[in-house]
Amino acid sequence: MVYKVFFLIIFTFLFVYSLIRPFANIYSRLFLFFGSIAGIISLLGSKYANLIAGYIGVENGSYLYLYIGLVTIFMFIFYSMNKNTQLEDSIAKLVRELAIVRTVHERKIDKK
Amino acid sequence: MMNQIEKIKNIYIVVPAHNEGLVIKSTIQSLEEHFENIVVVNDGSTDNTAQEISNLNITLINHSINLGVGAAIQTAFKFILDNCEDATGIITFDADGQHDVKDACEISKMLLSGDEDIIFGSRFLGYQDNIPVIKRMVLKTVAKITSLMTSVNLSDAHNGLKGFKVSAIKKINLEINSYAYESELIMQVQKNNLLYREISTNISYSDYSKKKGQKLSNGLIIIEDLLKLWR
Repeated sequence: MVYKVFFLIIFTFLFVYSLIRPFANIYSRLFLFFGSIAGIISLLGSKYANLIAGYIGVENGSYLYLYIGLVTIFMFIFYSMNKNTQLEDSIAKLVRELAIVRTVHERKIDKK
Repeated sequence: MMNQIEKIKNIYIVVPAHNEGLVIKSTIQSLEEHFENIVVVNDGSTDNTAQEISNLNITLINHSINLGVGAAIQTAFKFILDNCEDATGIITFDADGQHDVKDACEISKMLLSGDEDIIFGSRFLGYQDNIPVIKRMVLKTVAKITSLMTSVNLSDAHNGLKGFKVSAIKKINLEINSYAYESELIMQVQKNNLLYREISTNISYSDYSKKKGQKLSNGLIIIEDLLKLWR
């Protein structure tokens, strides 16, 4: 029971946090928003999860959480890889610019 | 009295180098006999590559970290376009010493007198026996796929020895940092309707260059990158 209350506090905090915190992109807010709701529902009891699953058309609550979990994992991998590529490109651009500036500067010193 | 050869001035040689400390000096020295302007891009080497050539009369550009051969070539192109007004052409030349300087001289002549925007060196027009059998098969497959996807017919799509007119480089926009930049380059040739020609270039695979060169499995990555580019 103590653990249940503990996690309920955490998920409630995350839910409120998702509403008030300014996010750089909407996906982060949605991830936290729906994630915290899913967490709260799972703690309230399986009947609520089953009810929502039935409403959506999924066999039961466990399957619903499994599907949501899988979709979240794939979305996160896709997002991370995309972000990683963007960061690599930015770093490459910086390193290249720096190398050129340094070479031009050294050439100027040599000419003096 | 020594018979001095007049060096080629308006054609810049670009040598991307990553951990080539063992051979870079001899490669550059052989190029120096014929070319006045040599730009070496030390692509984040962790060995003594930069020290080996620091006393030579070349321009050395140092990448702080290893980015890949494509990035090194792009850096050199940008440097030459922005800072070397006398450049009319650029030749890329591998640092591991597998190319023949005579071929670079031949390409420079073509760049100075011909109409072509880009001259591609090909190992398959006369010297294919020098290429190890499996490597030959992989290179041919990659070249075939590249030809199918770009309609640019080249017998050797991934040869490091190439010549570019500066006017052509201004039209090309490369973004890939890895080996696959060569495929991107071919796509750009097609996109910009650049005039190109292939010439036979010699290749000598030493134990060193075999060890240093591209892994055959990189062929798969090149094909993967080609598919990404083909939108």
